[in-house]
Amino acid sequence: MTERTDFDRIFRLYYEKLYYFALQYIADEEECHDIVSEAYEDVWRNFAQIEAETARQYLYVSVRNKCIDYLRRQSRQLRYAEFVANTSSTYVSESRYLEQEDNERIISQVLDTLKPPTREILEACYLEEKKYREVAEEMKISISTVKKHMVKALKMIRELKKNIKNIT
Amino acid sequence: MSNEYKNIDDLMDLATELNQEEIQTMMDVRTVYRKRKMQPVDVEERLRRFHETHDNEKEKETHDNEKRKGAALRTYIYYALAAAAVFIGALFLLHKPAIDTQTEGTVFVADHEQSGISLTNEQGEQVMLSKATKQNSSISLEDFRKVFSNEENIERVTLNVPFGKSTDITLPDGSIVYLHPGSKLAFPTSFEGDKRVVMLDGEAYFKVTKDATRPFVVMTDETETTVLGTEFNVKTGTEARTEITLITGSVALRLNHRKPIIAGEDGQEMIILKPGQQAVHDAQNVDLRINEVDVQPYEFWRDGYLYYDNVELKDIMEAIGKNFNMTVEFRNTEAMHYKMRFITERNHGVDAAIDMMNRMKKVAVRKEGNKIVVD
Repeated sequence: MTERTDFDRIFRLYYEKLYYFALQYIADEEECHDIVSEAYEDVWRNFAQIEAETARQYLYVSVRNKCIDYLRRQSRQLRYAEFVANTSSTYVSESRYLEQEDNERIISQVLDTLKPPTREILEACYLEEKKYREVAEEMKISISTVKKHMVKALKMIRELKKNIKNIT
Repeated sequence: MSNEYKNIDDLMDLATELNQEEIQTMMDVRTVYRKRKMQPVDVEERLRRFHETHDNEKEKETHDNEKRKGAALRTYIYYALAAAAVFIGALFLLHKPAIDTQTEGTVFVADHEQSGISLTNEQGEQVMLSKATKQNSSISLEDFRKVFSNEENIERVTLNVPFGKSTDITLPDGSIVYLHPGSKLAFPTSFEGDKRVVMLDGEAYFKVTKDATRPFVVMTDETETTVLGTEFNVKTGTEARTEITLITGSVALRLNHRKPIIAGEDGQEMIILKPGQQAVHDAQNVDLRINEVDVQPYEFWRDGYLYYDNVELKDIMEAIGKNFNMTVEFRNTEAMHYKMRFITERNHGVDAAIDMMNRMKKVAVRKEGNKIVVD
C-alpha cells in the first residue's frame, strides 16, 4: 500500500529531528515524543494530500505550536513560551532545514577545539545544564565572568560556523 | 529526565546580549551536547507504536481520502516574489459570537431586523439594490456604476449582505467577490494607487484578476492577505478564528508575532500556500496552522450551491440557517454530530434544502412557523 509506505518514509525522515527540535524547548522526553506523535497524527489523518515537502513544513510548524502551547499551560513558563515564540525558527524554508545538519556538525567540531576555561563553562551550562550561579560557585569565579565567557564563546562559534561554511 | 530546564532564566538572560543568529547558535550548541549524552531515538519502535494506535482509525477514513486524492492539483510552489509579503498580525480579537446559544440545540438564530442587500457610501446613504427576490443575486460592474456614476470622486463604499441573502459583485478592476450571508465588504469605487485594498467582515470567495503592478489585499480584523491573481476564500468568525483557503494561484503569508520577528539569514519565515491548502489562525495558537483541505465546497459555493462532504450536521444546518435567515433548532441533539454529504442549489430556496435533507433519511427536518426544527 503506497500510502502507508509514503507515510512511513516521512515518519522516518523527520521524526528524530522533530524530537530534538521539541527537546530544545521542553525538557520532558516523553512529552516531546507525544508532541511529535500528535503532529504526525494530523499528517496521517489528512495524508492523501500531503507531499513530503509540505509535510515537513507542516510538521515543524505544528510541533513548534504544540511546544508553545505546552509551555503556556505550565504557569511558570509563560515568559519562556513567549521567548520561544519570538526566537524559534522552524526550518520552514528548505534551505534552512538542509543547513541544520551541517550546522550541528560544524558546531560539534568547534566545541571540541575550545580551550579552558571557556570549554568547561560551556559544558557546565549546556551539557550539564547548570545555572550560572552554580557554575560560578564551583569554578570560583563571578557570575558576570561566566556570562562573558558564554557570550564570547557563542559569538565565536557563530563566526567560525559562518567562515567554515564560506570556505567549504 | 526532569520536567523543566532549570537554566531557562539564564538562557533568556543571555539572549538579551545576543542577536538572532547567536541565539540560534546557542540553541544548536545545547542540541549538540544533548545528542552526545542521550541514547539515539529508536525510530522504528516509535513508528511501530504509532501504527498500533492509529491503523484502526485509518480504515474508516480511506474512503473519504480516496475521494480527496483526485481533487487538488499541486505541482509547484509559488513564491510570490513580486507581491509585497504580508504580515499576519497575531491579534487575539474577540468577536461577538454569531450564535445565541440559549438552548443547546439552537445552531442559528434568524435576524429579523435586517432587510435587503445594500450598498452604503461614506455618508451613510444607503441604496437598496432591488434584486432581493432570489436568495442569490449578482451585481455587475454596470449595476454598480448606475448607482455610483460620479467617476471623478473616488468613494469608499460598503456592501452589506444580510443573513438570508448572498451575492456576487464585480469590483472596479474586474475581480469578482462572492459574499456569504452575514458579510460586509468595503472597497473604493475605483482602485487607484499601488495596491487594491478591500475590507472583509464575514466570509467571501475571491476571484482576483491578475495585475502584477497592483497586488490585491484583503483585510480583516485579524489578517491581511496579499495576492496577485488568484482564487481564494477568506472566512472570519467566532473565537477570533480566521481561515484563508487557496483554490488556485498563489499566496504568500508572513506571520508577525506580537513583537516583530528578527530576520534570520534566510529572510523571515514565509508560509506559502499551495492550492488546496488552508491557513488557520485562532486564539489558541501563535502561528498559522496549515491544513490540506478539499476545495470543492468553496468552488461549489461560488457557483451557487451549498455543498458539504463529511461535515457535521450542525455546521450544515447552521449554514442553511444563515443562507435562508431562519432559526434552526435541533430537538435531537445527538444528530448535531452526524457527518453527512449534502448539496442544494441556493436559489431553489429553503424548502428544496429541507427536502434534500430529509431524503438522506438520517433526520427529520421541518418548518415550524419561521423556525427550522431537526428531529
